[in-house]
Amino acid sequence: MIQFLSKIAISAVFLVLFIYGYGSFCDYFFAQDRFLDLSEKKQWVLAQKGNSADYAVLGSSRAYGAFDMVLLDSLTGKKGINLGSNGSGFKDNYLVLTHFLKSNRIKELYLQVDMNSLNSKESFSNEFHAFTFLPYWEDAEVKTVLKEELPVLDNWVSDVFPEWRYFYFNKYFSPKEIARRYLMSSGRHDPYSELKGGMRSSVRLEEVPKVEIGLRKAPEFIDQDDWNYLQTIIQLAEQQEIDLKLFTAPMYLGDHGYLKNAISELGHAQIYPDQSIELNKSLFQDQGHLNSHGRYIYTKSFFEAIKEVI
Amino acid sequence: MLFNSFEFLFFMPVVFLLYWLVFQKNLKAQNVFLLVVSYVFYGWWDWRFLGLIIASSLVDYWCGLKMSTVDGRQSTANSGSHNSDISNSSLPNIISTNKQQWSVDRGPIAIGLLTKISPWFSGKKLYLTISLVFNLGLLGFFKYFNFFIESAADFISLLGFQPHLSTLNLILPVGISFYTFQTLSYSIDVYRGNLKATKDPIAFFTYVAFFPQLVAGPIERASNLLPQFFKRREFAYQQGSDGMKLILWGLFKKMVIADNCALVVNPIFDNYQTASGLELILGAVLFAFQIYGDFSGYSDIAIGVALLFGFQLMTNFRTPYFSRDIAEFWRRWHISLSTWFRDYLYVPLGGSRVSKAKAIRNIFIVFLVSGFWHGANWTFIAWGGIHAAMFIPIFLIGKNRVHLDEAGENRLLPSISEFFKILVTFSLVCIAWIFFRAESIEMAWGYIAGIATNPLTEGLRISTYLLSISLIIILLISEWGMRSMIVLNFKSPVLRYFSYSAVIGLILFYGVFFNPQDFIYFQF
Repeated sequence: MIQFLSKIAISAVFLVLFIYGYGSFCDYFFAQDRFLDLSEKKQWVLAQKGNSADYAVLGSSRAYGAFDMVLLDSLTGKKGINLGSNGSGFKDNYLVLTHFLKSNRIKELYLQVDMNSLNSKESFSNEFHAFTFLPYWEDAEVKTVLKEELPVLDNWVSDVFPEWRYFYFNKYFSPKEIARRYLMSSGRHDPYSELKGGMRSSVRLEEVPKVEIGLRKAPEFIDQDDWNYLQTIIQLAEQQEIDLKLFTAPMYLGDHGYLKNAISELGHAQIYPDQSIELNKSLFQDQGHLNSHGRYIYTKSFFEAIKEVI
Repeated sequence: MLFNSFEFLFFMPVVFLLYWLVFQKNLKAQNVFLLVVSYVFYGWWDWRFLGLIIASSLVDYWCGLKMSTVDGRQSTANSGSHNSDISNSSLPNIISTNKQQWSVDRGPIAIGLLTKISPWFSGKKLYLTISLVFNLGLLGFFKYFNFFIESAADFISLLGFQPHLSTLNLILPVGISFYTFQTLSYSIDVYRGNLKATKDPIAFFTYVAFFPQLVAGPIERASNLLPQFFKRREFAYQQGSDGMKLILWGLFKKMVIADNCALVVNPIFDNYQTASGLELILGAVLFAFQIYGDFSGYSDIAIGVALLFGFQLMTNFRTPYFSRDIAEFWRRWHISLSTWFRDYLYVPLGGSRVSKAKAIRNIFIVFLVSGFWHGANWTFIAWGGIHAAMFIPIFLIGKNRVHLDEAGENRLLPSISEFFKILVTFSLVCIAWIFFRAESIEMAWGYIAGIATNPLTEGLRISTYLLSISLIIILLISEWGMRSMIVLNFKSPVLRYFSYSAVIGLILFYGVFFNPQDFIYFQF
């Protein structure tokens, strides 16, 4: 028995040491800005440092793909940055904004709100990209949200031995990923900086193959979890004295009646897309995303709208 | 509690240390402790269903005792070939003689009435009937009630009537199919006289609820497991070491093979109408490894954990995908279930020692019931039917017991003929798995039709499947190399420690920790 227990104990010690060593290395490696993959939008946002922008756009892929930021800057005469990224619900948005504000400044924030983001579990296949924030575990906000969202991390083991968490998301922190990021760091591809985090637009409607746009009904109820995180973002903006405005990116045949009702109590300025855009099928690549010409039209329309709101 | 959960990571060492360091001196205390931790293990999932296990144990314990009493009065009762005395009189018995007498001589008034009504309801048969009705009743109610109601409604609709039958919102208690079969084996063996009823309720209740194999098997026979509760258990280093190897290998099969396959198999089956032909083929093949990794992984862990506590459970899988025909496959796949059906259904029906027509009927019955055991859906019955249809031709030409050895025995590689046979058998098994995995018969046919009619490679991204395929290749090479030995039990210490490190590394870096899949066989 003693021989057996000794061998088990020695093996366990080796295992713990290995996990501790690998996790500590991941803590160091993945938190380094130079090893962030700038071709991935969320990581590009996390890599931003020292910006002093007049305004920022925050939200999901619908916010990210709704604006030609270069065009919007030229129209407004201001300096903006688009922090939106694919599949981002309010939990992602909150942590992205928290991280961004630690080393950047903004005066205005345009936060995308729609019934999908208010019910992210139903709308997104992966509504919270917890692994993106894993290297920032020591940030109090990150730790709080991760513990809330992932009960497996909300225990004393994670408090005394947080290094193990990288194995929970081993796909994103594998030796292969370390090698890839390391090799990539010497000549990083950065497609977002010149577009200020947005996408290009085109003045004319390009010839695109006609695709039937499948229509999916937006959720008609609000998830309390998403609502709480929306409130948290609003509080954060208020604490940082950021002028917050809510907007809804265009959706083909979108009906925002329920949303207007639901968020009217929030009291912040709300910007809804022009109905002529939402009825024009040729401006969309799918139900929730504009094509490049749609982006051009909406960016201009948005500029007109914020002039009115302001 | 799942074997691959954090709770189990803490539960297991604590239970192990208490079991050997605190309770070892007293066998009864050890058994009581095992019973308590087994109930904690099961209750972790839903404590309310503990009542079912306790009720099932009580009924079979009582029926066993009653049968043994009747046996004493009736000289013709014993019909079995051997008789295992598992209630060793030299061991302390927690039931006093008086209490025992009371429990044997008195019974519910209704039973007394039944015995007067019909001679069939008399003697041992009565108590066997009670056991069968109770256990199969539980199983039937929780597992099959809605299926029968829905099937009846479908049938009535076919006749042109409007059925007004309602189903119940029932939760299927985890492991019910396993422990009811385990308790049934006890009652039937006592009835047959193959086993003497135990008078030790703690040992019997622990046998039913023994946590390593409670929720997904192996389905242990009382004649194998129950006597082990009466023997003093000493910790043996080699046994513990073998147990740890099996646990490690089981975790690899579950977390690395099964769960990675599940990540790619589920989307293919969810989108079978639009998936390419090659993706559908890959989906069926990967599901074959998903279910194998999942179920045999669980069995390995169960056997390994039991070894750590000094218990020997039966082997449940012996590299089934290296089988050279369907008959061999069934000697290697879910052995505890297939032998259960052989002994308690096939043989009583007459087995193969009847006319050819009756033997074919018996084979069909066994395979169909075996399919139905897996779940209340026509897909499982179809799966059983397909296996029967594949087995019967081999049986008819008398070749069903040809491959009793290992493929490629004493050789590094299988012969070309063996390789071809393995490939054909595996392909047939994969076709049957499509029915097993599909949600309906229509879906299964649609899936198979899709293989033939959907574009072969359109939209196929082979990189999606590379990881699973690579891991399966590692599994196959390892299992081929270890097919005649205890897993990871290499003679060379260097090779042994390298294999431990490699398996742990694979689990750490390729195991699915985030969003792990439930063990498939939990639903059965």
